[in-house]
Amino acid sequence: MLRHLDPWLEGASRNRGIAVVLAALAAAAVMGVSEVAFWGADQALAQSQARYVAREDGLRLRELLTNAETAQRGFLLTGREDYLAPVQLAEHEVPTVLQRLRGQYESSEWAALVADASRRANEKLSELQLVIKLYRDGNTPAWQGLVESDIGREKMQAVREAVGQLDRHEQSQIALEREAVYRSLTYGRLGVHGLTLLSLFGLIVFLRRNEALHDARREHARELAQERDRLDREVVRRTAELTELARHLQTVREDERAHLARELHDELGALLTAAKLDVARIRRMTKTAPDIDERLKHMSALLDQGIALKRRIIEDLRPSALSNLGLIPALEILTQEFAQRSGLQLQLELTDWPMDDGDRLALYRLVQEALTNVLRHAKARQVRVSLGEADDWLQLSIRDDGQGFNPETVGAGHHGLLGMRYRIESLGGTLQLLSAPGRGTLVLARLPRRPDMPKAEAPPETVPGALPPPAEPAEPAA
Amino acid sequence: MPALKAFIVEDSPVILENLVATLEELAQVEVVGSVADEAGAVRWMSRDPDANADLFIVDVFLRSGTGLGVLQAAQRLGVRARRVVLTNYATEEMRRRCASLGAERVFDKSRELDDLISYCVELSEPPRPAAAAG
Repeated sequence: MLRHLDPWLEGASRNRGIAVVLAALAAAAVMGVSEVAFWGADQALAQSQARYVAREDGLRLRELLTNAETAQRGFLLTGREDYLAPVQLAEHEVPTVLQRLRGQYESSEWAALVADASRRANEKLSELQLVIKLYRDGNTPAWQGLVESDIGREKMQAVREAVGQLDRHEQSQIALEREAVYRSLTYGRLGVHGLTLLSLFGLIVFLRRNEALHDARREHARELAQERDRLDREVVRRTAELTELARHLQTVREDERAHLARELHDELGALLTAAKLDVARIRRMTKTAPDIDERLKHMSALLDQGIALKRRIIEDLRPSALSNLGLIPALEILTQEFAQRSGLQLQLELTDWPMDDGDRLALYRLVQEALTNVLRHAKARQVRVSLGEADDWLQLSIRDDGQGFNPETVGAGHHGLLGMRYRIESLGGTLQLLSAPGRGTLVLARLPRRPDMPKAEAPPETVPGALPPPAEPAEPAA
Repeated sequence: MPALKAFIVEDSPVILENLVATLEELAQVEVVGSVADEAGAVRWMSRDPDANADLFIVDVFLRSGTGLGVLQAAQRLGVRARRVVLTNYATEEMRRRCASLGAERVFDKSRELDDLISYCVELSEPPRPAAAAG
């Protein structure tokens, strides 16, 4: 049944208005049942009360008449006046009792019986008074005739029967009414029980729905959390992919640049230098011809320009000091040249540390970029570059004592270091830019420690097969 | 003719070939050997630090190792022959470094080739006027 009612109950518990109306109906039903039971019982009890009074009156009538008759007989036997008190009492009370009885049974099917009994009772009373009067008058035959006749006895019997009938009637009615009270109370009790059970049922339904609602909420929250976690993981995954891609592209780019630089250096550089040597030899041979010497001198200058151009391109592609000498000498050369060019004081504190090619290049570029910034913006007097280990991380810092800036407002992008940040992060490191107006600037890069690797002494062959293996030692052709 | 005996550390065969030809033709230099890397140069020097050559011409960027390493080894081994550097990377700092490692001169591979030739000529010639005078 509960299942059958479920949709309806669900609708009711969802709709607050309906729920309130239902609760009000239930409360009204409880009060109504209780009220009906009370009124039924009250009415029945009031009727019972009236019936008891009526019954009492009937019995009283009988008692009064019986006592009066008994008293009359006593008087007749003894002639003593003091026997007559009950008769006087009856004379005094019977009219009242009869009036009450008539009132009670007025307009009921018992009215005739009561009227008859009333008449007979009055007649009986009159007869008793008449006999006493006759006795006092000394008319003995008359009162004896009256007493001996059956008239008095019949009347008495009639009253007795009427009272008996009324008594039985009232008793049966009282029993019926008690029955009605009991029924009414039973109905009330059942009603209250039923409604209590209904309320409990309603409470259970409410609690169940409430629980279901809570479950649904918890489920919803759980799903939200799952979705958020999934998105978080997705973001982390995508970020990792993008970082990996950026690193890969960076590596490819740097590899290509290194390849190009080596190609230019090894091939083009060698050719240009060889050409220069040829020009030098020809000039020695043709010193006597000034015109030719002039042209050769010009040609030599052109070759110089070509070589200078090649060098600029190479240095831009990949610092040759870095690829040929390693990070620390390259940084020393870079900073010394910077100090000479800028007139700033540079302090160096460089410790060697295992790192790979990408690390070296990134750190070199970072120092280059940071020094360029110092020269361009900082108005510094001293710069301190240190490379070493901190908490098992490789740490590079470039600190100047210049005017500083507010990183919030300037931002790393404007400082030309945003690209460096991505580059360092793609290598698994971090780049921090710490500065405040008037407090100088600190560029702090940290890279994870690489597993110890052999120092990359030999740059890999760039153009396999292009260079013949050198004879060692190569005896030159005579 | 007491030629100037030179040993060349250079990793580019094209340059090496032309350099050898040029020096032999213009400066009466006898190139007694050449290697392309630091280890070969060190091996050659350690064989006989004194008598093998009068002049070492060293490139800085080599196939493996560096010319700076060669200069360092020469100092360590007590090589008495003159050392000069011939490089594409003749920055001020590089010149200073090479000088501190015992290089007598540093020549730029493009602009100062004539200077290298002249230097070699100077090294190989003085004995001749002296011999002619004597």
